[in-house]
Amino acid sequence: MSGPSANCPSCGGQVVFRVDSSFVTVCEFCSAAVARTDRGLEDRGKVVDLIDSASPLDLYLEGRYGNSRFELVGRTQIQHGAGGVWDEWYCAFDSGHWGWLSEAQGRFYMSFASELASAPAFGQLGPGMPLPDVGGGMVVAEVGHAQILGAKGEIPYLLEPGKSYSFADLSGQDGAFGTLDYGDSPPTFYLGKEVTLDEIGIAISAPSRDESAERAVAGPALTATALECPNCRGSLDLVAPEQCERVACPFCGALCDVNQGKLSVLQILDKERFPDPPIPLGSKGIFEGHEMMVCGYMVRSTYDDGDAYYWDEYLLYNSHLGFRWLVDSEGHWCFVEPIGVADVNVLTTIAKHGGHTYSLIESGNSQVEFVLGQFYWNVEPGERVEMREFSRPPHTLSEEKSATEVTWSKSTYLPKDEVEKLFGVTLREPNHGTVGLGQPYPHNGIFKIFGILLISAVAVFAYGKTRATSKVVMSQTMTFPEGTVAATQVVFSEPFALKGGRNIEVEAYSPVNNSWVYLQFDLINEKTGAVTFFDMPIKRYSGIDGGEEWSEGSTTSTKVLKAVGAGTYTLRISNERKVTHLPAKVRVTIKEGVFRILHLLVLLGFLALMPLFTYLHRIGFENTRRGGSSSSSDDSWDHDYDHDYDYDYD
Amino acid sequence: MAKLYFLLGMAGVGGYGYVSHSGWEYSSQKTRFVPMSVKGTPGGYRSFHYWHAGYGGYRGGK
Repeated sequence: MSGPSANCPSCGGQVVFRVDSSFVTVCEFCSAAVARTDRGLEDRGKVVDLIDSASPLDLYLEGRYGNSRFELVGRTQIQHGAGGVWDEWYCAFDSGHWGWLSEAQGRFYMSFASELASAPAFGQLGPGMPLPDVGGGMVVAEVGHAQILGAKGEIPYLLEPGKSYSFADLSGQDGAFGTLDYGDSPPTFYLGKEVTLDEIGIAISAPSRDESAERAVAGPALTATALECPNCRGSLDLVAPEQCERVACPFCGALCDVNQGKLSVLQILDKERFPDPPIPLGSKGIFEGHEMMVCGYMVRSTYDDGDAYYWDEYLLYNSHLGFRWLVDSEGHWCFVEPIGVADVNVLTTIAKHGGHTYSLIESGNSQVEFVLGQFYWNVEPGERVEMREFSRPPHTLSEEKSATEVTWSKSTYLPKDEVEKLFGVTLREPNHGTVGLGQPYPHNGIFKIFGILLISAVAVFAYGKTRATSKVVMSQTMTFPEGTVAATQVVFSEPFALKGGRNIEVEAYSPVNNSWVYLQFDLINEKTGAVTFFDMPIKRYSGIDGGEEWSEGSTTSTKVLKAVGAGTYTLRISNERKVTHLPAKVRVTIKEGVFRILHLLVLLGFLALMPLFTYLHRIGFENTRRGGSSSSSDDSWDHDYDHDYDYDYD
Repeated sequence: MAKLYFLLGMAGVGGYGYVSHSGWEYSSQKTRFVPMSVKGTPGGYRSFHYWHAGYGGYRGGK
């Protein structure tokens, strides 16, 4: 791109408008914001020099958004009202329209000026407030004030250096991002989404082959800038000095404000109250395939039902990913990354995110107790936010809400061993009897195995069913003549064949009433002489008692025998009976290969024992998670840590 | 614990498979072989039951 050039009205140097539709260009020689108006060029005042933010972007880089090509032609740096600076890059598209590429804490948002029928008044907005009529439904993530600091290149609006304005950042679903800029009247609405540099086709500086391989894991090299503590003269290594707002000296505990690389002491923290963190500042570990450095450490607490609970948070930094967190709560670790405010849908005690449902575990206020190292906001002990925690192991959703901002983050549980391996340190064991918010139940595998065993059992059941033909191999009615008990009577069945290898069901029927007959069987293999003997009583009694009929026993008795060998068999039956002066009829039916549901039930009962105990154990586990996820207690919010830092805090 | 459960469970399923295939039952039945002297005697089976079990006299019923 190239365009008309003119002389700067401030210094006379040459200024160029490369883009036809830009309003302002910043003079490279005197930093004057030169605007072109219908009256000619106008000096709108000097802009301050840009702070070196170590941004991977630069002017005149080209990229693509969808099918449209753009070029980064301008940049402003804006001071956040609560401290911190973010960059806005202006994208001149070939089609003539403009895009705003915001860069903050390593994250990028592409947005475009959009129509808005009516914007709510700034004073009506609050964090977490839904705006269903804005951008297809968005949520206020933050309300704040900002001031334009430096600028460079060409700007698509009439830039006023030093101008302050109010804004509201909005969050929509699936990374949708919006801003209501109250610097204009009516406010300007910008709508877009979070993007990665890869998505918008911006290739950051071409590294050498060796560097390229290294960056695949580490990202841009993490380097630190050394500053001197104004209190103790100790060396403070800032890994992201351009994004650093507060530094707490690890040597003397001086909490310093950072203003353009200059430190000023705000207060001296009681460093003796807190021992050194087990993962030292400056330690590096690989997360999400990127090397991250521990640049800050804080102790936070919450107060619940008379008890104070403490946990530790480590601020991690990678220039490509931005900031992440590593949290240690009673020896339970998790890795925390930010998510969009509007991507979480809260329904009283559940939160939905990414198609999954999370259960509310905790809510309350949290307070910063102690800080070490550097932070990207104006943190200080006593800072409070409202918190809600929703769990779906191994993940946890956390909402933190202040007067001006609401944020959501997603945690992933990390086993202690993994953290130890990442940082090469030795960490304490999780406190006995505690369960981490996102800690997965360790025996969930039992339920999966139960499923596998169940399927296997059903397969065997189906096989057994095919073998269970229940074939009647003999059915015969025999009569025992009248006689005496002493003279036991014997009858023989006709010979019958058995296939063998299948169980045998013997059913005996005798029409007894208020009587009994006792049958003794010999199942005789005609060829081998093997005799299988068993007995079966039949008894049935009935009557009327108190006007009600009753009965017990049955005229039929059944017995299932284990398989015998194949062959021809004869059944020998002898009997004893109560009534001997009358003949007794007995009908005997023999089936081979009967299906036995009892065996399946016994197996299922056996298989279900372990899952049942596991299920009961898991209930206790979940109760501990809900009731004892933070167990250390004290009587007051202002409780002092144990100097030995044994994490018992009591 | 999961491994132990898996092994025990598979043993249980295997046992069920064996039972289904072999026709095994938990039964009080007993098996003897008729001695050749008895087998070779016409009507020998008639006395065999007394020979192997004797007569205990059933006391069931009312």
